[in-house]
Amino acid sequence: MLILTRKKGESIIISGNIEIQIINIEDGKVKIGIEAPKEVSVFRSEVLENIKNENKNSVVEEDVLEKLSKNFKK
Amino acid sequence: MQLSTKHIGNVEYKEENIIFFKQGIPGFENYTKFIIVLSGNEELPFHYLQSIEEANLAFVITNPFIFEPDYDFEIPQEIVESMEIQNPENLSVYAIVNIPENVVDTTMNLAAPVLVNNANNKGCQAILVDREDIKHKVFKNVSQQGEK
Repeated sequence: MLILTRKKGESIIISGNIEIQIINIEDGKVKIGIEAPKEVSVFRSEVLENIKNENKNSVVEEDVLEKLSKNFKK
Repeated sequence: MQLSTKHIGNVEYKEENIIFFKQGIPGFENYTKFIIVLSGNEELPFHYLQSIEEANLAFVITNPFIFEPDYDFEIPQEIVESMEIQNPENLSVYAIVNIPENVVDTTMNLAAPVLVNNANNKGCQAILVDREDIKHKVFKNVSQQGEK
């Protein structure tokens, strides 16, 4: 992993068109500004982690539709 | 072609119905080919999203608009491009459903809908940055279905 030290207001550029700027540093928190082309997806890493976990918990173990239909007969 | 699964037995499918998830599904990045197996019951709007590479990998999906008519989101631009979405009418939207022991507590993931472009059979699970409703209760608005 590449590790760079940056101060408030400084930024880094990734592959020419993505800029990541340190907006503020306070109370152990870093506020980051990201400027990237529309086709680049940016999200907090825990968001992806949560979705991976939810998908893993949603894998079908049995014929659940059968179970659903038994429980939701009109 | 035929697939032998543990949860729904043998499944017949046609090559032209295979949906290609280039990046897999988060958590299962290695599996890229899926089919949709319909419930076969018109009153039951739930279906299987079944991997054809791993017979034991399947999810339950539903049309989220049936339960949440106001559900609305903007498709991230990078997905419009990677899935080559030219006409939104060709797009199907599904939510992955989580069915717990007590089925009344069934939830669907509205923060990461599954999109399928029926024009080219490309699919993906879109991660919507501005939504957090990974566990959205399915049956809260459908009172007649909540009773046995």
